[in-house]
Amino acid sequence: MTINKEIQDKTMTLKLAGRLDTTTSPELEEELKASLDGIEDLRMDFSELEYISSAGLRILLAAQKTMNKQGTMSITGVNDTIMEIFEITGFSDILTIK
Amino acid sequence: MGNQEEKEKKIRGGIIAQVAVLFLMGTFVIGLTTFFFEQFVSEGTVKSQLSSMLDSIAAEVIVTVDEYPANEWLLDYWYENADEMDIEYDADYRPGTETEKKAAQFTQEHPDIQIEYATTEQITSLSAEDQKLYAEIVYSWLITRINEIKRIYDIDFLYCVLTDDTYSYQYFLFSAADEGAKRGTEFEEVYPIGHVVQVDSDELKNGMRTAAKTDGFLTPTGKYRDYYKYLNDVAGQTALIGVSYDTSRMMDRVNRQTVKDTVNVVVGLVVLAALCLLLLLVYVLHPLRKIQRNIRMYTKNKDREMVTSNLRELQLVNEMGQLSEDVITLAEEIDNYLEEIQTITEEKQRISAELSLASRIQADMLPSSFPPYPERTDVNLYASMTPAKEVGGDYYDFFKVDENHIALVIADVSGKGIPASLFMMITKIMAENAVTVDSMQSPAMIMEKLNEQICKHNKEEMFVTLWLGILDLKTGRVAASNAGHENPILKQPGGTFQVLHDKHGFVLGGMEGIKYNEYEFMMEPDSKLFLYTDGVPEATNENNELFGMDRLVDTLRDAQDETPEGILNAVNNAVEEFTGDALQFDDLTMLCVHYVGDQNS
Repeated sequence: MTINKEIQDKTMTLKLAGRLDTTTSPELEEELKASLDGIEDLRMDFSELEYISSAGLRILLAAQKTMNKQGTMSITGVNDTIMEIFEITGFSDILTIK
Repeated sequence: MGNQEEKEKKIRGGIIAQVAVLFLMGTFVIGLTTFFFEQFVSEGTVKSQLSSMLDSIAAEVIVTVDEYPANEWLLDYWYENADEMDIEYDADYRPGTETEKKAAQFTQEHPDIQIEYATTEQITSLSAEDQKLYAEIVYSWLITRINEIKRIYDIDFLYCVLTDDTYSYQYFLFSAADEGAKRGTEFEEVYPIGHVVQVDSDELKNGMRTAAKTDGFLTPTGKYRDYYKYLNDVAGQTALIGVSYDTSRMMDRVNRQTVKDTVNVVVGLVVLAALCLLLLLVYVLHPLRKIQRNIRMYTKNKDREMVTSNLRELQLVNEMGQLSEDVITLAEEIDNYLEEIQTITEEKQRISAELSLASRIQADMLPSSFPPYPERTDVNLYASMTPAKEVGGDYYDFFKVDENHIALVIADVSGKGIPASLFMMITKIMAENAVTVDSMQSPAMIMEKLNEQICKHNKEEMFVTLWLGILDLKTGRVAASNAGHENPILKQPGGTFQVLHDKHGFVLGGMEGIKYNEYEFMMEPDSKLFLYTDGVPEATNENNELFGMDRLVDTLRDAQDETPEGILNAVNNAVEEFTGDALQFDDLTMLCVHYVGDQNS
């Protein structure tokens, strides 16, 4: 998986590509832990993300909880496979998916 | 070992042989160079040695001549009267010779004159007859004496010549000959008195001139090397002593000298080379072998203390000493490393043992005796869990809520390994408690309570997807709630397996205060319900393709008439066939219920 990070002022955009699963999610967790401070608008671009596992969902949930306290978080470009996972797990209810 | 020793011998021979070959080649080249250089040098050396030897021979002849007080008169007389003189060339002091008789006669007639010490005055006062007698005696004696000089010094010719300022001829006054040698006028014969040889060679003329004017001179070429030294002036001419030495004999001396010098150098080099090889053997190869032996010993039995004391006892100096210290250090490092590895291995084995124990405990937590209700004919079910690692986060569960209700649970904890398995155990206990504490609760209420309980003890932000259904065995009615879990797949009698798109709530433990939906569906008698975790549809093959819902439903339909156990086996086989050798990351957990219904009704 690759993570492309762009920070402008208080807006951070993370563009993910590949698979977000048990082996790759610690990478995203580190990235968020390191740079989420002071961010008020977190945008995640999933247009090149192929798959997300429960380990990846856990990271999204943690990020969503953090952003609930300091601003907003939104996800764009979700493909059908991932959308189905979001729906099955009920994540579609708590995430802002555009 | 045999092979190793053989190899070692070969290698050791190699070093000595390599160095020896190098030395041999060097010796050969140096020997050759020395030979040519020495040839050049020794020619000069031999020439100068020869020159000084011939000079001293000539000097000796001159002294011999000068010993006669009347020598000047004698030289003149011999020259003037060469033709009249009656000469005996080979008298050689022998008794009974003409010369002895002449000497006896002369002494008898002139008892006052000693022949050897006669002065010019004494001789000139004698009669012409006696003067001739005297000159003949002394000439014969002189020949005898220079014959002796020639013999002692082993030279080829020794003579006295007269020449003038043109140096164009040589008049032979006297010459030495070996005993019995023929006197004659041919080349290489010993010339008699009065023989004249024409001189054409400028080299020879030049040599004679140099000898006459300044010093002795050795001619540089020719079959013979001639050395000339000034004797006296005789009758307006110059008398020179000539000594000839065969050039080939001289060259023999040069060659002998060259060979001798070359042999000396080569022998010196060989001795030096042997010494170097010996030192190499003593200071390098021998210690190296000892170190090698110790390294092998260490390799074999890992006894560092012994190797260390062995190597220290050798007390090696130079680089070999450093090498042996390095070997000791290396052995220490290896020992430390081995210890470390042993500790790590023990730790690993302990962890592995604990993990497999944990795995067994986890498996034992799940109901595993099938059929679970052998006395009941109205329901049959089968379940399996195959963790991807030793322990996983999936689980299935079923238990009686009361006599007519069975709770069915399938769940998947986020993450993997020990953390997931611990969380799974807690969830399993909490869920069973939440269901059995009050049989009248609705599934949605149970989910909400369960969510609150899990959230309360969830600092690590783990979550679990869980499907809960309560089957009424009398009616086949199922009251269910889904917290973020995969859709159940249901087959009604007369139909095929179909995915049940139920209402989904959020995962358990994700967020506090979530409300859950519940729903109901009927299982007609002979219905089958298939529950599973995402490990099944998300099983991946080597091309990174997912097994997927379509393949899952197809497999179920193909096996729809089998028992629950048969259906699970069919799915397992299909997944295994699909994934092949690809490593699986997710647990494979399934539960299948066959609701037979009341066969009596």
